[in-house]
Amino acid sequence: MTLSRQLVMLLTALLLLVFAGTFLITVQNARTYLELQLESHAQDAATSLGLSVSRRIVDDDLAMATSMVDAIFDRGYYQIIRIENIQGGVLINRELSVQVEDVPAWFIEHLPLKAPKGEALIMAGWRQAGRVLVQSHPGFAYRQLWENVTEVFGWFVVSALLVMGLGLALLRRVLSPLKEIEWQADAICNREFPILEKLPHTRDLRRIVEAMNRLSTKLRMMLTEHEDLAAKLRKQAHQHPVSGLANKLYFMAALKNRMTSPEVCSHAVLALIQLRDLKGYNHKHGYAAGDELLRQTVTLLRDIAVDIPRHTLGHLSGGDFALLAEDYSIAEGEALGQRIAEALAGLNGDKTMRPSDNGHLGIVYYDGTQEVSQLLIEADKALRCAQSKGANGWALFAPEDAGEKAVRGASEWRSFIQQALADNRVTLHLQPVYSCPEKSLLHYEVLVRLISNDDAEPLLVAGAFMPMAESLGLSSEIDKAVIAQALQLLEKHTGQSFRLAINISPSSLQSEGFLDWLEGELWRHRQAAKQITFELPEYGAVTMLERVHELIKRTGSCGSQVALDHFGRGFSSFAYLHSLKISYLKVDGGYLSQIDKNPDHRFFIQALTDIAHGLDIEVIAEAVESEITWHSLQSLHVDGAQGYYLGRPEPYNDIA
Amino acid sequence: MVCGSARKMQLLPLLLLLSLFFLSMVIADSSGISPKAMAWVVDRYGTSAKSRILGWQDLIARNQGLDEQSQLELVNDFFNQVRYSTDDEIWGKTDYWATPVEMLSINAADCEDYSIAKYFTLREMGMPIEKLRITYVKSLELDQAHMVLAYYEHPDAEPLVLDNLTDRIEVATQRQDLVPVYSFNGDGLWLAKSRGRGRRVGGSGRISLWQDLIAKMASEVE
Repeated sequence: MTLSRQLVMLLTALLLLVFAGTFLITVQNARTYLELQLESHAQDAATSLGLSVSRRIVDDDLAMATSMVDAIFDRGYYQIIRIENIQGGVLINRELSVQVEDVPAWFIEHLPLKAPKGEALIMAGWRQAGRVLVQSHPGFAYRQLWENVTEVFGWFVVSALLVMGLGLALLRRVLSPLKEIEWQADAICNREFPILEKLPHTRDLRRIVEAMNRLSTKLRMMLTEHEDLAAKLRKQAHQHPVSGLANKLYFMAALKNRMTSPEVCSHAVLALIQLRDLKGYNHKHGYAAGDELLRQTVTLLRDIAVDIPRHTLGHLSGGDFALLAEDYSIAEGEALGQRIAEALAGLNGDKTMRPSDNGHLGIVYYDGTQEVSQLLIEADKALRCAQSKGANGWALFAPEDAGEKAVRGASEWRSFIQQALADNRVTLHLQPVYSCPEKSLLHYEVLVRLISNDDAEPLLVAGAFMPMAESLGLSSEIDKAVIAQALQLLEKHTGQSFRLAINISPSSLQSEGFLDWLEGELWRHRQAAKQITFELPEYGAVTMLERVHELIKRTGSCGSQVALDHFGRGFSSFAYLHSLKISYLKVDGGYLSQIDKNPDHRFFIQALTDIAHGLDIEVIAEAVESEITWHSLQSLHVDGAQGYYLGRPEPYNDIA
Repeated sequence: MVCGSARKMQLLPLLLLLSLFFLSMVIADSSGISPKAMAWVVDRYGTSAKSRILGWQDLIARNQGLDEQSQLELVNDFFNQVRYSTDDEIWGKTDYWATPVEMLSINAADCEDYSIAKYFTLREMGMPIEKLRITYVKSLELDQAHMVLAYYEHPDAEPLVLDNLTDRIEVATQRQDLVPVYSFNGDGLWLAKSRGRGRRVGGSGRISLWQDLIAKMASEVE
């Protein structure tokens, strides 16, 4: 029961009590008074009538006596006037029924007024000749009483309504802060930490509001501290202390990860950039100048890397940098080389450096077949070659048969993809994701495949065509086809309860109408919608947060969930996670390198997991490829894992 | 009301004897008057007042079962011993109706006091209320308003008159010197008078003489 209702009930009860008491007292008092009045009234009438009639009875003039009685009776104040002789026989009798105008009969019935009789003697000289009995008519008294009662009642009703009205209004005003406090508490649960600016007047409530504000601030602080700690750990583990770019360990791990994930990356370009004789430069011009040169180099490389959709930029050591550009063709690699070389040439450290000879870069093309070590050797060779070329030189190496391999141009790709879509040659493979440590199935991640008519490559993995589709603007078509198939699959297996995780590319999310289409589909397949989580890559999500919010809201209304994968690639801050209601995040494989050997790597995963859990977000590790990694994860409170060690993608027909 | 002069006391010696005789027996009267009240009376009016009151109590007590005629005579004689005076002389007020105890204490009375005292005493003795009427009369001799107590043997009868003007109890028709005006029930009259004085009186029922005195004393002693 709400406080308002309780107050109303209490007030009503109280007022009723007071009213009842007052009413009874008033009525009783009025009654007593009126009865006394009636008594004396009757007595006086009897006495005076007795006195007057006495003379007439002496003369035996009954007619006269009757007339006298009438004269008094017809005034209307008497109920009974009776004259008896001394033996009790009635001589004259006049009666009036008790009927009162303006007073309801039930009132008269329930509040009887005693109308006492007045009595007096009728004397004939010394002899007692008779008796006069008079009873007053209580009509007047009743009218008084009725008026009294109605007035008291009316007054009470009015004052009751007034008091209750005021009471409720006051209560509502005083308690309105409670609604705000409730909102604030809910917001805190939703990982927002608002402060209520307006403090209520009521002291008790003000104290609560102030306490809530302190709580909110403290929680935010704690979360921020946590995040700061996680960021620090990450920096320690994966970032170069000076430049903040990925350190060698991380870069190599990322490189290996990309090269072993054909789903994600089928070809790429790796560039090694080396500043010329940094050590010498430091000796000659001082470490401050050296640092300045490094800073400029980092800025230069960052600016270039920003335009590459999927890249990893690393600071390997001293003056050695590396840039991995995923999905780049040889031609694009050459353009990249040119750009970096020109930028290097423009470096102007301290004006004392020979302006045209700042560094060199060696580029190598990865066509999906090389091993990591092999690739690195080639990259190194390219760098030597570049150095021998002269100032700011660069060189690109590619596998010999790379040029000969059938490489489709952009327009070819367009028609290929569109044809595949038209022919419905889109098929789905599912890779299981398991919980950690129980190893029970959490969901299947849906991986798209295109069936090509090429015998050499009958089935194209996502990494082979998706980047191209994105740049051609066709990714939303592919995503739609995937989603449609997935929904069908779920509809067919409504008995079994398994979840699917479906990837959405960032460009799909940005394209017009995609969200509308998606919402429509989900509404049509409500039951299936509840079994889907949509995954977005984090590096795309952070650039379009409002869109992501909308995706979450609209799919959420149909019962679906949203998650982020490849989390952490861009070393972005964690702050945006507060407002993003995602159900889990998949940690990029790059963070898992050597977690068995390297405590710093473990600390970071742990801190990240703690933050995520604080925000009700689960953490799943990607690219778990060895038993060691799986075992190391057990102690880090990670919620789940996926990777070749745990299960490879399979066509869905093969799944039970 | 002012009335005529009183007759001399006649049975005083007898009464004194009686009261003295019973003085020792009646120290704290059980029928209402407390030692405190009596002490107050003695203090105010002297010991003779006390003996008068005790004599009156004794009169009532001893004659409960007597025939009515005798009761009338005894009561009439007893009270007619009290000296006649006016309210103004006795109490310094006009129209003060003294209680029997007051009257006996001060040993002075006017016509209403006599009538009331006789009425209450007879009632205490057990006389039914319908047989006694306080009657307002006019005294032709004195050409004044007067009050007497009338006794009706039966409702239809000619009453007997108990008067302070004479010790003889006579039939009303024989009292040519009195013209009757109007009669009242004694209790009702006393009630009305008390109400007029602003005294708090109860509803119906017999009024105890003692109650009135005690109430009066209470207000004076405190």
